[in-house]
Amino acid sequence: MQVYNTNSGWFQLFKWDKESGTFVNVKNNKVLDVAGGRDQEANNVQVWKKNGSKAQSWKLTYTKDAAKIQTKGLNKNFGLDIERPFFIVSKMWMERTVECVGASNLVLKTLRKNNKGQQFFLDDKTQTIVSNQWKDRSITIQSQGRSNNLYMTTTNARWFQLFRWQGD
Amino acid sequence: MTIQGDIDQENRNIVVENKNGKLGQTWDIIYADEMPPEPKKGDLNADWGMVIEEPFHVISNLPAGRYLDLIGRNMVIKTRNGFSSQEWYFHWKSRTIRSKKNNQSWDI
Repeated sequence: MQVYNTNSGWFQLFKWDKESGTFVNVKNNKVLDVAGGRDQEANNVQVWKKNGSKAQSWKLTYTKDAAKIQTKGLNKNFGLDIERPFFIVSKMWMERTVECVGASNLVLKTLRKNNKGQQFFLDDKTQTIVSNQWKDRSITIQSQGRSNNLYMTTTNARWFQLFRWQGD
Repeated sequence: MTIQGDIDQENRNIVVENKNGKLGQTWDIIYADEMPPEPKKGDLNADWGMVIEEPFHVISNLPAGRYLDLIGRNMVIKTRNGFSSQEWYFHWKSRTIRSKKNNQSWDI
């Protein structure tokens, strides 16, 4: 499925069936469906013949009734306090910290408490780990060949920017 | 009286054809003085199941409860992030579900 300029062709017309939790096309009766039933970040959504599976089951929640996104305190899903700057300190002998250098690279550096490049926070909106110095950039997996280098890039909240802190 | 080709499209010709029982040949007559007013923003439309122009989220019932979202023009599921790409609304005039991000409609 995609979005496209509105033309009200049958292929753009869907009704919400609250009882079954499905969005049904008015002509072919196919329903909104998570491709392959794969519950993965950024997986595609399609239409498919109705089969009663969870992949075709949805909730429609009006924004005004939706629970507010948590804006402070511990975010249990991600294990970090929201919007509270932190250092990422190595447990190796020198206890160096992760620093964002040049708004892009992440390297190990000696701790400097006043250096905002060494501070990060969990962003309440995107649930990504954002630099306290470059607040539009999040920690990101840069997958190239066999290395999975980490770097900072513009926040997009895709799976390669979502990290959960699991502590000790 | 028939909608040519049985295609429900703006500016489509009206023709006469042999009776075939299809939807394109079925009509209602509503007297002008009995025509109900156009539904307005905030009204629940029972036929389509949605409140008109009231933004909503579409949340998967798969275990992670991800939200219907957009990457470019593709519809995908993603973790809730508060961006307008995860908000949708029912547009009465077109009878389509539109993205709050770019006002484009769901399309197969």
